Amino acid sequence: MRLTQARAGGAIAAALLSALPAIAQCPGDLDASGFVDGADLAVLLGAWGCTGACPGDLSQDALVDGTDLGLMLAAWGACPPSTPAAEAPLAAVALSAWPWASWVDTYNSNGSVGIAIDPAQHPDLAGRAALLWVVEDRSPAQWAASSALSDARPAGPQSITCPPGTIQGNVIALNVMGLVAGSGDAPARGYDLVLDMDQDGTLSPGDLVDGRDGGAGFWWTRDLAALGPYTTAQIASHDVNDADIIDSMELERVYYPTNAPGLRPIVAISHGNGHNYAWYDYLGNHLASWGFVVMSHQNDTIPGITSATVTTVEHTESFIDQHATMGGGVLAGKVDIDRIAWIGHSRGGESVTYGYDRLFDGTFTSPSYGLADIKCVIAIAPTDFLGTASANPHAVPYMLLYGAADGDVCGCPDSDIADSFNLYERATGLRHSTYVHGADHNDFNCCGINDFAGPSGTAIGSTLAQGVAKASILAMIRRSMFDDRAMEEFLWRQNESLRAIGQSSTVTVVREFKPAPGAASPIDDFQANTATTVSTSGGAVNAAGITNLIEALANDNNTTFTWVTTDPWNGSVRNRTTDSSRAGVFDWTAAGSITWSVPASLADFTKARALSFRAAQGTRHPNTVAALGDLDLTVTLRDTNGQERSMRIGTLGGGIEEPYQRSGFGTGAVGWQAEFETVRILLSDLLSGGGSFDLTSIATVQFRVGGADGSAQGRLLIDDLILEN
Amino acid sequence: MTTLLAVLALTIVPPPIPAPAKERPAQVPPVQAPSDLVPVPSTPASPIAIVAVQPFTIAQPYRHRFRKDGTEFTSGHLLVLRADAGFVQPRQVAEPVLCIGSQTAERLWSDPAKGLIVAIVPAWTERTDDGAERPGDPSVDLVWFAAPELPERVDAAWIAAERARAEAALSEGRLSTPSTREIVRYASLKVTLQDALIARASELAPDPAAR
Repeated sequence: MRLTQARAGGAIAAALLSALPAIAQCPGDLDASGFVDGADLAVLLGAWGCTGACPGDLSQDALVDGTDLGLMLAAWGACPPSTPAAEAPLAAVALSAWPWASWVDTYNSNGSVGIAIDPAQHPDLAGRAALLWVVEDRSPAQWAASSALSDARPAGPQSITCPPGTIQGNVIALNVMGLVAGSGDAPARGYDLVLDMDQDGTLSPGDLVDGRDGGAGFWWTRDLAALGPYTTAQIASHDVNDADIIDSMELERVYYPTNAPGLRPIVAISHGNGHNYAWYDYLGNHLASWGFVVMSHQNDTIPGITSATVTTVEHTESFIDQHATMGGGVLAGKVDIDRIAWIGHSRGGESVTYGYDRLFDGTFTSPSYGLADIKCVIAIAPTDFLGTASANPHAVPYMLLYGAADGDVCGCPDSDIADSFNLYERATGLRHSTYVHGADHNDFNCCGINDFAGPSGTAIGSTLAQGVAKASILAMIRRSMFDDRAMEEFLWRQNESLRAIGQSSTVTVVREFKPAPGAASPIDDFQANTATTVSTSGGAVNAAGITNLIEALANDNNTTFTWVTTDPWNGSVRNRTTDSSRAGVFDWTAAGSITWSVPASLADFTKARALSFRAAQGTRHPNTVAALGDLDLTVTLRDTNGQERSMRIGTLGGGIEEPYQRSGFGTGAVGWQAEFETVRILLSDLLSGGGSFDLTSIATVQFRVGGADGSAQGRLLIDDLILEN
Repeated sequence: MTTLLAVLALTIVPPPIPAPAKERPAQVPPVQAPSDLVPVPSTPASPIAIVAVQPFTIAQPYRHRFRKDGTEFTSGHLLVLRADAGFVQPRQVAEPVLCIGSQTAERLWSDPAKGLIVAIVPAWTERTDDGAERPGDPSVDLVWFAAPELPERVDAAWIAAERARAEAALSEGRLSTPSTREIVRYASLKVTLQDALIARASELAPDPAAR
């Protein structure tokens, strides 16, 4: 019973309002008796001719008339069995254009959580009062065991009114006072949301729940760039005295949590050439405070990558073998030797990648660990001396962290050795890249030489660069090592939409994310069916109004970044000729489109969570130079009945990033290597506004450019149009 | 129950959350000094000077990791060179390979600020004009920076090709010899273990910070 409304509306209204949940389940059952019968008919007839909010207005047209009588008679008799509460996304961020809300899951604990109840999708709820509960995340089994609600906030459940009208401007602020962020090692704490329509304190028919069917309704997240929950200590220098490591490369520095319970995973850090194993205190302390045991070792980089790889794999083995006794035994019984992450910088970035390749190939074996123990590999601006076969991450979860102003491993077009993204493109498993404008090579350690090679006034310095590094590396390790889904949005959402609390808003970060193959169904990843008229999945591809569409190996084919028509992949320093990462590219100066026909086998988009693709602006192309900003376009889905939903990608955070304005390797216009950025559209967002749009039967996916659909001109490299499960 | 919960619940309906405006960097970052990383110089090129040389013998064979074949040696020279910063600064991409005679040298320490490199070069032989062999000697034989490459990938054929390129440059006046050789020539060192050799090499590094 809602007292305030009962007072306002009188006895009949009170009875009716109390019965509303039942009405939603059983139209015509005005007295919630479980039957549509004479008592209900009496109520309806008593209100005959009533206009406005009237009992008996079953058609909700503000008039009680024959239409309502017809509906009641159609429902005459016993009500159908009640249906359980419905799973529906509730937590959302507001958007400045359609779909007006995006039902994402991860929220920073210094911010807000929106509650978006789309009146068009839930017309029965519009204008009704409800209690909004925030419940500690429960598994489906826990929900099945108990439907009783318990709010995690000191103030208890929140009284709200489901907004009428449209979703636009009607995202409600969740009261987050008293919510606890993080849980032990985990930076995020999960909560489920319940919209308790009958306000009975239980999850019951007619209610909406976000998070019952798996995952959490939302994740309330601590600052990933700040120290974690544990205090840390250090073994400043430990000599492993290992016969497999040359004498001058035997030292390790170890960072560990002093008060973390249980076994702690290992993170090994391999430095770059001329670097030092003691240069990564910022990362070692950070990860140790989040519960990892971090070992940074001397790395034999001067002879080359093979020698460095020996130190990477042998130090990992030595650490596993010796951890129980080093430092007076402080780590005895505290290390999880089955969970290992490798981080390498520059030549060390290649050595951790080649180390994984050697485990994969079986050219290195250890009695102490194996391939399955390496849960992820993170390369910071790695070199590519060894090329396709050896500098190859295979299917290990792989992250690339890169500074756009790197003056050493520069991403230059004249040498494959300096092209870090070659390694990234070879990764066939879950992969993520963080591309940081204004950061140079040695911003990711404490003490390397200043190698900044970006335009004046854009340098961000090591403090800001390391803030990005700490947050993104922690997110990647937790995502890949613990399947921590709360962290995934830090790997794919546009930086403008989500970044760690302590990560500066002044830093431009471009993110790529691609799930493991088992979690993705490609519509077109350009790897098969190489004609521009056929997609990977076998559907027709039609281009209209755009120009210069090709698909091929995405490899810059000359030694400059100056735009010439003979180098359509200008700036794509992401492949050697022996590599195989293909993509598409096109440009436009007027309205145009590319349309992918969706094969029947993929047409049911409700089986997926998101539609995603990656794109990058064409380096120094005249259209890119003219646009000089983020590129926007419209993604349109059409169902087999001809209904469409269209979303401007800029709505999600700015579009395809404006290239870093770095000069060199050519004359005239500026711009550097291709900055692929993932755009991930949550399919639930496309239901905003209701209607008959049918996600179970999608006929086409279309990119619309130019005209009213986005940036007036541009050139885009595109790839990995996929459905993500 | 319902009534009780309603009373306990918040009664203030929160305002809608406005959609965010597109964010742009709020501040202009400070100007950073231009890169201190010197571009890789062209090769072949000579060091500026050979500062010190010390012959040695070692009982415990020392594996030469700065060549593909990784052969072991028991004699050679420790030497200290001064060179342009571009040859001394460590970098991630390929560095010019320091060669002496028909050998590559192992870089043990470098001090970019002073332009100093401490290196070990295994013994080698040179053929004289009359076809005889003599021990190689950093005091008189060709010392140069060869093309950028990873030393672990360098073999005898590569060194020979680079040496031919250097000798051609020398004869054409495009390559000079070091202006100074052996400011200090130490007496021959005889050690048993690698640690002792490394320790001695570290003493040759003029700046402890570079060791």
